Amino acid sequence: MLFNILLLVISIVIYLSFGISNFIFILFSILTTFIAAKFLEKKSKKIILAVTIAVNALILIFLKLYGANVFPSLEGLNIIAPVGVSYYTLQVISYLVDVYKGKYKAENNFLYYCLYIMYIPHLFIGPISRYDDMKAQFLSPKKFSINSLYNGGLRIVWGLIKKLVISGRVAIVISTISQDIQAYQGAYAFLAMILYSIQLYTDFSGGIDIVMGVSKMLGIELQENFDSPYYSQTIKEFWRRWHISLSSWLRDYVYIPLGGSRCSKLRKCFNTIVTFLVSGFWHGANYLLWGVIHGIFVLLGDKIKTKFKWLNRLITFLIVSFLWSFFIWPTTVDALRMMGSVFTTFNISDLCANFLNLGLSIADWIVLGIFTIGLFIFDGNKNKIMQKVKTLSPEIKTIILCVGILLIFVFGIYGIGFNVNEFIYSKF
Amino acid sequence: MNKKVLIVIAIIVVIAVVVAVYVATQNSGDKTNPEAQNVTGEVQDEGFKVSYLGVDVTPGTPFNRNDIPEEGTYSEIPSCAFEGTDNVATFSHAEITSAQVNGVETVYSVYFLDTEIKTEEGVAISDDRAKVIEAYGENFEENGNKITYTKGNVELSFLIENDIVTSIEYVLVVE
Amino acid sequence: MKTVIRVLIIIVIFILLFVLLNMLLQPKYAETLVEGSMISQYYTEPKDHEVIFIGDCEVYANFSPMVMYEEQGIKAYVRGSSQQLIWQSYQILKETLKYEKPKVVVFNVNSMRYDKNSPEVSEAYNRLTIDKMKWSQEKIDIIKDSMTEDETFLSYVFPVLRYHSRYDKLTSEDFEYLFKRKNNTYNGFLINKNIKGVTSLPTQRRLADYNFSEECYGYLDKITNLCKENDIKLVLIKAPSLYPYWYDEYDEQIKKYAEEHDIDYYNLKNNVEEIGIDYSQDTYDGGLHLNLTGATKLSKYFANILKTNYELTDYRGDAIYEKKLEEYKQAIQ
Repeated sequence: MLFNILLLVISIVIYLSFGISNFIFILFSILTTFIAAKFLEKKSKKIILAVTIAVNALILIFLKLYGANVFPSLEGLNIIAPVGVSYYTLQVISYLVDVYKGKYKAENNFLYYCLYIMYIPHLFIGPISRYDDMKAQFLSPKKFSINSLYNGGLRIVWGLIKKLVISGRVAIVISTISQDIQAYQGAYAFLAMILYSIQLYTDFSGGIDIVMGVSKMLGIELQENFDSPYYSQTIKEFWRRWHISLSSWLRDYVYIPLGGSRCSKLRKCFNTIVTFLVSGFWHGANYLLWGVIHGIFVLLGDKIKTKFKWLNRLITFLIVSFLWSFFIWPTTVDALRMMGSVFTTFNISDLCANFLNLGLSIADWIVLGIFTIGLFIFDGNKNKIMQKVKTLSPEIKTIILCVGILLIFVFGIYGIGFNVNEFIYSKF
Repeated sequence: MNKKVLIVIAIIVVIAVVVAVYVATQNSGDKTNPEAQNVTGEVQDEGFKVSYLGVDVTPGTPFNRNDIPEEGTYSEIPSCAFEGTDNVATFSHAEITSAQVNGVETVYSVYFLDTEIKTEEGVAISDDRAKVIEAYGENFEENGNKITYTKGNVELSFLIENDIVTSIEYVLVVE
Repeated sequence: MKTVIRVLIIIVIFILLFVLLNMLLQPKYAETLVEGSMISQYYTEPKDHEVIFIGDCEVYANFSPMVMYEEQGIKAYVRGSSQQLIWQSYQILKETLKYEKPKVVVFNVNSMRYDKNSPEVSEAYNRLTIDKMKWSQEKIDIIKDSMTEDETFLSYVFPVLRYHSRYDKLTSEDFEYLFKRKNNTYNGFLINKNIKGVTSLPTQRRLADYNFSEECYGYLDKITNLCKENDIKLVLIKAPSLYPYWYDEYDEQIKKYAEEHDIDYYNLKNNVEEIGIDYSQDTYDGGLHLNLTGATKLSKYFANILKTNYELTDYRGDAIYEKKLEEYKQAIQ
């Protein structure tokens, strides 16, 4: 109990450091849903459920639209979306619906509910947790073993390597390419798509690794959010392995309430597309088209699958990479144009000649290549490797941990880079 | 009990630091995380344009001193803003400073030397303050007797002494 | 228990590796960027100087203590560094006073024009001044005073945080000077024999504001007081460089300050003919800094001023300095 209070206090303090106005938003969501759930438990009234969800969802929807400059007249208001709103809104909704459906009882202890929402490690990037899972974690007696510290530490270091060594490097190239739409088309655009797939995955899953690692150290197990997504053979499978907590939330609270797949074929198509529209909108008001296209590929499902496992994987990876274009370039039109340019502009030789002017030195490309290959090998043999790591002795774990930390220090992209040229003329 | 609590607190402090560090570094381009998105891309507005004897010498554009149809004098000064040197080309009505940026000689600043040369908007040295305001509006930053307009990545500043423009300079804004 | 000990040993080994990594990745300032080595060379010198110079490149390029010794027997040291800003000069003077108490401190006032908001304040130059300083209260203060936006104090404690991206730029210099250092100056004077005469200079710009900032005056006051407290004669100078322009408005302010505080001020730009500087021969970068021949002329001239006005001892014949002078003469051959 003492531990949980401490956790909550620390979470609140860190959250407050992002600004008081943030806190008002999150407190509003916590209070409305906490009280509504109490009512729902006594009297299962649909209207209470609908109104509470609507109010919370509308805040999120408004912020998304505002972020996409849909309301030019409100420009002057300068509203800053509270940190974590996209994640905690989904969590409060899932709690309400679950209580309404009688999956579990409404929480009596306000502290536990607060902690569920405000648990700081998962507030920023998920995973989007469910209340019953989290409550069980909070209640279970904590055993702070050296082992869980090691495992958590290893996970954090692995996440940092992904984020700082791989993602940070790719980000430099992406920002070069995406800045100049005229100069970088065709082969450049294709390179950007492939690299962005890697950046996105390493950045996001690296962040999740850190969240998981921290939680592990605290004795809390969260739901895995990624399962080697780029090894998927279809887009449908991809969505079971990418951002799992979001996909399952959408399944449980959008797709199934709409009727799921137990209905007519046409209705099923409609449900799928709507679910992906919601997904697109959750990512931002600009990504509706991206959501719909993914929905269509999911519906196609196994129909575009070949007999060859690796070919399927490659095709899926390419489709996913192409569709990330919507996230690379600032507008939908630009994204579509760049996708088109891959098939119309052939400038491979130009790219080869210009390869080292994209922001990375030859050594950086090599480092990037080695770590990316390492990442894919790890992902392909995840279970085997994880099993092995668990049985290692503390000495070996310490060595791995230390080597990892040194690698991050040297190869991570952080701080103000050193440029010897800056120094050449030191005459003033 | 006490010992356990201490250990727990110690662990929590460590973790809080880790989280804080993580949050501090969380700035990369993960746009599928809605939390990491910034407001939609702003459109860069066009900056001020400058030309000398009909040649475009807008700061930030490539510069080739041979394009200018006039002999100038040249000096090299260790650069403040860039690596390497500032190359200063002094012509009869203006002085153009350029430097190597990513291997391209680029205009850094244009400084007017006499009353013969006007800005695109028609202001010259010896005009009065009212004329500057008329041409460029009220949206300027004032620092002593210097007023500065920023448009795109170019800063245009006028020095106004006793209501008379005594100096005009365009400078590239360097991040 | 055995495991704990083994784990601890592993951790210690990695801490040592980390320290080594820090040493390896930071610039050595031995063969290249030698300006970065100046500040630290002082620590190895005998500390019995009667004159200490502080300031930016206009001191280390223009004043040669060995010439002053040969001419007048003065023991002087130049604690200058590239773009040494006035708040840095103050800390460096403070640090120097912990080692010795000179009779005269000479400060080159060129840096009065830059305050902490000036675009000329650059992290790269700061590093040249700070990186090789010994750890002391002064170093802590100089870092705090000099840090630009985006910098962290920690990156001065652990250079790897700043220099890690040099991993692919390491040269043999980095390995050769991993554990040793190289002296590049003669009592703080950096020899430059190149000749690049003045051809043309940029037009003298009009400034919006010629007044030195409150901030800079504050540090000048601090330097003045520090000298007063320690019974040291402070001398202000402006080295005779043609660029960046030393405006008359600047000169007036320093003159006024010097009068008010009873300090001597020499604007050596006014004595160029007397000194004998020929700007077509005596500068290595077209009028910003003097080269060896120019610096020699200036040092002779200024040594004379120091000797006549400040009751300095004539140390000629000092064994250590005679040896230094010999080395210096070889170096300028």
